[in-house]
Amino acid sequence: MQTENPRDYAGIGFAVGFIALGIWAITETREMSDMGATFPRTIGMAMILFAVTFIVFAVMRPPRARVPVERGSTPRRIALVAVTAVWILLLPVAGFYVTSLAAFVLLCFIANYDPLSTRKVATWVAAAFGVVTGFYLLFAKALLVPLPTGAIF
Amino acid sequence: MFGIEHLLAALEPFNLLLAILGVAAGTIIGSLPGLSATMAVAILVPFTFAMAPASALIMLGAIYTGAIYGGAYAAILVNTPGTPSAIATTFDGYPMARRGDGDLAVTLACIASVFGGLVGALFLLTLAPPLATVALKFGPIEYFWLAIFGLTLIAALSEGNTLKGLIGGCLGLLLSTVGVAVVGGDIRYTLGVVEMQGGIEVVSGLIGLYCVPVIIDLVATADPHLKVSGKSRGFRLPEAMAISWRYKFNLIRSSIIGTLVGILPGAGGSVAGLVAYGEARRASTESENFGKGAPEGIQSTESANNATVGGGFIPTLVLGIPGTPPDAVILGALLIQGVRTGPALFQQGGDVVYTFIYGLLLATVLMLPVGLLIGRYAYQSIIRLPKAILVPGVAFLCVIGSYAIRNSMTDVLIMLVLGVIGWVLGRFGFAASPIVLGLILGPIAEQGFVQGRLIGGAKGDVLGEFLGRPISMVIIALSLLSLFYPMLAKRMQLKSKGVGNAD
Repeated sequence: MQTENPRDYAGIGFAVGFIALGIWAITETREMSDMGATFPRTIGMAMILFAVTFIVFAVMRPPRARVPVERGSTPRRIALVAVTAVWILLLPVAGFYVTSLAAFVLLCFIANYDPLSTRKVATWVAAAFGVVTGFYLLFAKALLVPLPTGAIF
Repeated sequence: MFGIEHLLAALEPFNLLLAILGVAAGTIIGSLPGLSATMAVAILVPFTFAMAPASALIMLGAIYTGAIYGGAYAAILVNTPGTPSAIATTFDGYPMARRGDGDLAVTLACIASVFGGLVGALFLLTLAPPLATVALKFGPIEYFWLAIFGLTLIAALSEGNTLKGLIGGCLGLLLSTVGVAVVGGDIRYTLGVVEMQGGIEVVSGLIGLYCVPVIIDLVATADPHLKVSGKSRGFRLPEAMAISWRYKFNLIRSSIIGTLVGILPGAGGSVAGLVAYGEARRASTESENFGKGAPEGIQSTESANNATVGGGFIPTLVLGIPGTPPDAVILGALLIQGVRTGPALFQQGGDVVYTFIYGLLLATVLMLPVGLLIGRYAYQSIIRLPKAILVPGVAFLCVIGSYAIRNSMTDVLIMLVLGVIGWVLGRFGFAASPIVLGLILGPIAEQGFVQGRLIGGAKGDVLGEFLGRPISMVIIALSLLSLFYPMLAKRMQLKSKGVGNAD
């Protein structure tokens, strides 16, 4: 049976947030020169206008059929973002090579859905060494990109 | 003028070898997110200093054209444009790959890139001097309207909710204003953080908005990344050729759009791809399939962005004004080689110029076998990799790619933050593409808008300045057509159906 989604409450919530963002953007332009303020002020106004129109339509429009939302594992999603964030924050502190190796292997664990085995983990470690070393050499040595070295490497 | 002797000079074994090497190197570099065509050319410029000017130009042109094409791989296979030129390739390339047609999408992209590259180079060969004068007619207001024309694509990319798309577009435009203002030099929306003064780097932003949501969803389920058919289907070249032939007018139109946009200094492959995509969607009889894996979408973007290579060389060689960023690097290399660009180059330096143009044509033709082979390898690698290695591999490329553009950790952090915001917004129907569109076209629109207002103010007629110039009027008409054509077409279709029923 098809269920009805009463209103796009999340969309309305986001629209309220965008109105606040638009107001903030316009308020900030008071400290800018006329040349610097014109464009962001116009965009801020347009954003508020579209968000208000969206809210009006969302409230007035008849309810629509519920759209199935793909769920999936939220803990894994959060773990991926957390590991990547810590990786990025530690990059300049500990060094590009070490943090990238560690993050690569950790992300292998997060993305894996199959039974674990010593061979599989060894493959991940080998892949991490291969990819990180290969790109390190390409970027740092061939392309002369100054990758962060940090305290370790 | 452009005689057989120049073609024979381009066909020398050494030049052919340089063309193959250049295309292969460019394709590989372009396929890595964060390494753009400009970087590919800049990195490999020193290798050309010891060469004869024509050979050097052939190699640089081959690298450039290969890099523009290489950007399609990541766009199709992991939803991350390898170069900004391939943004619109993601719209249909990734859905095609998701449904198991990634191999076909890569081959279609290759054919379209070769076709677009050839059209651009042929324009360069035959019509360079008269076309270069068109570039000089484009002032700030025309650039502003061109950006607005690109933004009308939001209506097409909003996935069923135009208002959400418009709000997303405004968010992108607002994000493009972060940092030092393009006109006036104000420091805006940096929240007092010094590192934010550099603004949001476009490539980092689009890596975040396109790629991070993909890997966030990749880890959430055990499903394979791309649907794969049981047996190997090879390059699927005959099928791709048949599709390309069916949509030949799309290829021709998009290649001409790409060439013309390429002529405009500063516009570049990303604008060309977006404009061509919008026009292809407007003109298509199957426009409802766009964004869901329509081959026409890939064709339009890939032919247009490769056509900018030849198009961009037109103002570079005729006027000494680089049409696209990689052209600026090549212009520098030319000056080091002692080649003086300008109107006289085609007469006095004809040997170098025409040998180069024939070399560019040959390099573009060679892109077909080279590109197909590398594309096949890239596709096989992506589908064979287990998810447990693919996810960290893509995450690693996101981090190193967004860092390498400006050697900035701030860019990497912005990439992740924008990626998470993009994922959250995407869950609630705010698609990433309008935000990216705003981010890319924002600086062009702002510069044109502010400068146009200043010019109009000085003349005492701002409105007339914005609306009264002939080229502006054409672009405004095209923008309105692009916005309202789907609605008009639907109404006309309903009307004709009604008439049919009445009969």
